[in-house]
Amino acid sequence: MIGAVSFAAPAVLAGLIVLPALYLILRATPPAPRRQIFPPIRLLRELAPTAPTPVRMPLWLLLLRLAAAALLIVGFAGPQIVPPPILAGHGPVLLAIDNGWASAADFAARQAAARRIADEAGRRGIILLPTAQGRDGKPPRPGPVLGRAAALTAIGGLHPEPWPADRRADAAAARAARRAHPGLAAVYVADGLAGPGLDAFVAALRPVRIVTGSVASLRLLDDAGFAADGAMRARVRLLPRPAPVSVPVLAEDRAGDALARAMVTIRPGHPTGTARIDLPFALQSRVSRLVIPGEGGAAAVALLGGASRQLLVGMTAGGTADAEQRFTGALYYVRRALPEGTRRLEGKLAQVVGADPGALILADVHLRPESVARLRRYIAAGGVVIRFAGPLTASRPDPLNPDPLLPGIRDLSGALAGGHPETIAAFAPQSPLAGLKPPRDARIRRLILPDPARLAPASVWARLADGTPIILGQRLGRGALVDVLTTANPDWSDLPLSAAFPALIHTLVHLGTGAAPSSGRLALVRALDGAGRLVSPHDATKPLDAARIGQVAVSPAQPPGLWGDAHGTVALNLAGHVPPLAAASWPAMVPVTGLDALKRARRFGPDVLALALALLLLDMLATLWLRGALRIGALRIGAILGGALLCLWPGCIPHARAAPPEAALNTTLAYVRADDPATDRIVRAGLAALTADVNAETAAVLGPPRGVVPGRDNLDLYPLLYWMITSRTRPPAPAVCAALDAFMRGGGLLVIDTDGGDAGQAGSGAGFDPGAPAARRRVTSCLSLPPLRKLTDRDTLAHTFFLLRSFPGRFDGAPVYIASRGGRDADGVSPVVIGADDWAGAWALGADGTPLLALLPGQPGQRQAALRVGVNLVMYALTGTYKADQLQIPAILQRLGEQGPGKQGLGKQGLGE
Amino acid sequence: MAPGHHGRRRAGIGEQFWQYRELNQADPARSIDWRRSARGERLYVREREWETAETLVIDIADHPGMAFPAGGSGGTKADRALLLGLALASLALDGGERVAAWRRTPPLGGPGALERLAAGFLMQAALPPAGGRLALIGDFLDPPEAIAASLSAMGASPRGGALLQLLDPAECDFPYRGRILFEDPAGGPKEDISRADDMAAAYRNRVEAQRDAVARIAEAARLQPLFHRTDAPAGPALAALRAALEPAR
Repeated sequence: MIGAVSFAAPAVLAGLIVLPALYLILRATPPAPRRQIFPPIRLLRELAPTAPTPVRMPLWLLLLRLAAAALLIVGFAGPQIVPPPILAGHGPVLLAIDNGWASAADFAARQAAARRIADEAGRRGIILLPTAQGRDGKPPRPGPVLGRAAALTAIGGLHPEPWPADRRADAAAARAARRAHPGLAAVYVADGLAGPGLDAFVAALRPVRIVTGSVASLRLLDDAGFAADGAMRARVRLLPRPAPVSVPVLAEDRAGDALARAMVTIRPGHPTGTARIDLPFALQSRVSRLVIPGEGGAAAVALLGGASRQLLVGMTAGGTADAEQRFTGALYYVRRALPEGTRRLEGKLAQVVGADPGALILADVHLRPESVARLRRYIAAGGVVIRFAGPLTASRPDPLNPDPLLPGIRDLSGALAGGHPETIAAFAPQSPLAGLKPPRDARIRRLILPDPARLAPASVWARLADGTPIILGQRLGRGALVDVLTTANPDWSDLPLSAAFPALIHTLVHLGTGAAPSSGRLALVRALDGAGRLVSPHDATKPLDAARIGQVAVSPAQPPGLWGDAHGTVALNLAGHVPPLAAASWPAMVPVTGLDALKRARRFGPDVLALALALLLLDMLATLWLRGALRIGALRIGAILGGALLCLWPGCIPHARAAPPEAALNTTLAYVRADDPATDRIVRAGLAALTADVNAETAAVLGPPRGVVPGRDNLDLYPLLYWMITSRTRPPAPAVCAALDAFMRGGGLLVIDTDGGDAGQAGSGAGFDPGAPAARRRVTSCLSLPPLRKLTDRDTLAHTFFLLRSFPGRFDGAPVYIASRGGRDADGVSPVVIGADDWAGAWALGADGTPLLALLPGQPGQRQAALRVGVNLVMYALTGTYKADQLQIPAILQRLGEQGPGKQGLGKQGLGE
Repeated sequence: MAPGHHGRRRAGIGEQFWQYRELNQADPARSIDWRRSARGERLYVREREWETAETLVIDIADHPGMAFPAGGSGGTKADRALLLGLALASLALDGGERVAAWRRTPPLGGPGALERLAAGFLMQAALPPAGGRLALIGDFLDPPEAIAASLSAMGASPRGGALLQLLDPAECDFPYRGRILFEDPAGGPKEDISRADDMAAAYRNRVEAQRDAVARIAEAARLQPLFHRTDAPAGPALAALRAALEPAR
């Protein structure tokens, strides 16, 4: 052993004594001459009568060879630096390894440390003790004494569990192991968190060496919260640090697509930090979990149960009076009764239903038959409709409720009724309102009545003291319909003024699929495993009392995950259900090593051997050179090779100046460069994905898309120019407009698109980019656009490759415009297509082939449909009206009669190919 | 290149006009030259000069040294010599001459002669020598007196012709460096040169002297001396060879 370096096979070093002998042999042997047949040898003979002198090997070559030989011998001897042993004693080794939730983030490093200890223990035997309970709920216990190979396999099979270590059982297990093997040496690979029973466990292990990771990197993601304005809030807990810490948090949907990213900053000395996640409501309702990216483990995941999803409540009032009027408006009290943070949408019925709210409140709205049908579909799909009565509904009852209502108003406070208003007596015990406190102070003065003869008793959720039904409700499909038979303002009753009204409204709006169970027994629906993945629940789980979910400590019986019943799900996350974070303090006499301080042996044998081989190669070259075999030709080849290597450096090969532009040689899609790189990136990715799709689906072969600046670049080279206009797009310069006009005149297809629009406009992109339609108007005002009309599925554009019925992009439903017949070019091709559904956003794929942006409403096949729109646009730009006759196909088929190929025989592909 | 037939200065079968003579009884009426006869009252016959082919005898050296350089990327001296010899023979045959390989084939002409010649070049010398002009191709690295003796044994001076000395660039320039063991292709003693680069200049002078000596011997034997390096293109060498064999009229 020389210093820290030892040798695996020191006996090989004895070979070094042959070096002097090698020296003598090499010294005496001159390098062999090169042999050369030479016809004019007679002439040489006349010239050179000198006898050949034996040449001695040059000293430097000799030393080179000796060094190579010495390195070979040393290399085979296996030099290595072995770290000092950490195991004391001679008995078997008890290896306790923490595999609770806190060990998940660096579990691989823990396994590496355990392997290193198993390596060192070797033949002494290893007793493995994972400290967390298994999935079956059995307490941790020491395993049998394992050999090195079996121990390494067992260590490889360990995995972190999503609950904390069971210290009490650990201490008992350690004591049992000590009793069984008195000469035990113990090593504890700890997670570094303090916990109840940790001191007893360490005392039971002693004498012990503790190997612990850094608790500074521990992150615990809290349940998602909501700010007062409804925005989502992410909170991260950690052990207070002296420097600020930034933790990224992703909001992901059910498929694992990231919808938003927030950066949580924790100030120095603080245990928690919070960040807002601003998302449009439609996206926020799709967030199913928060994740700290790159951080494995259950602690880095916060699931959102059904209850924590936010609710959008649509509200509509009938009549002409101002529903927002203070104190008297039809919706004034309902709006105030909604839970804080609820998103509201108020307006006309069709508009509100179109936004697909979770619950819909109708205050005295008389429904026309088509509205009734629309609402029935809405309820069946999971919506909740809460209707309040009023003068309009009282005069003309509509058939939405299967329990028919009688026309007319019952006036309890009138003279005929004796003048005493009634209170609500009780909520029906089988109804969802059971358990709410009846509003004793609310007096009902007027109400409308259901037909008592045809009323189903189960649908009465609340009665007045005299037995009159006041709240009717029933579940229809996945949703519910609730009729409150009095008004939503204090005209007919005090109910909106009562203290119990908010609780009533809260319960009612949560009746739909997003309802959170608050009582009863909950079963585990999906469990979170130790790596932070949602998996099927294992057998050892026990049902949970919904009312006590806040006090549950996670364990194998009640692991983190989604718990629920028929009404909905509640998320049980680690944060709040594990002991508070605190760093462990170890007893003074126990040696503690860091995870990263535990190095494995470093072996240099292969490096030394490689060096020896390199020297031998050098020796070979030198020998060749000495013999004159390395000629100029070989050197020249080497120089050329070196030059070629250098030429890999870009710019070495000079470009031909007169080369035609790439786009002229290859058909290429183009887009107008935006001012902001984020839009450019999406559009470029979108067109690239579309290009790949067109190349795969059609006979067209397109080159990679290019960004152009109209007025500067030559637009004549491109068949299709895509222009994404956002609210930030500035009005273009006149030269740009002139270039685009020339492009459209010259037969190009200009596709103008926006990434969403103002709130309240048609389509699911409403509200995503307020100001984009105005920007589009500003931007296109200087273009000489032809007269436009709405694109329908009867247009050529809907037939150029695929048969399209709608034209969705990232959003759906916004109208698409093309030039009307008078504004087209000589061939009848529209020079411009204007959409607002963000097609490029739907096409865009990331580098790994996954979509960059989530779709809305995200119906199955929407992305495929968007790509088909893109393929049709490209084919329209390339082939013009070539497929215009396909429009006549249905009529032709009809004329051919039933004998001809049926309509269904002409699928998309049938016409597209 | 000029055609290979040579006028015999008498009437006969040929291309060139020789004379008009009067019609004999034996002459067929077809042979009357009507254009000439129309100018006078007698009938004339147009006669042409008799042309006949000459014999070219090609000798290509075939000793083991001609196989140098073995295994190189360029061809050996023997390859180049055979190429030049066959090309020369082909030209001569095209010109109507007869060609023989020295002591290997009889004078050959007509179709198939080139193939028989090519086969003949690879055979052992066994036949008696044929008459005709000589074209000698080889490296001529033997001592000058030995070359002179063999030329006179071939009877060179009465025949005339050309002698092409063909050398590999390595034999001319001596591009060797370091310690080299030179071997004799004919199996003679080896020569161990410890520093070949030191000998290059002296060797080059020695080769020049050999070339001069060969040229002198060739001129003395009425053969036109020519020199060719195998790294030079073969075309000019062939042209020079052909021009040297062109008989002075």
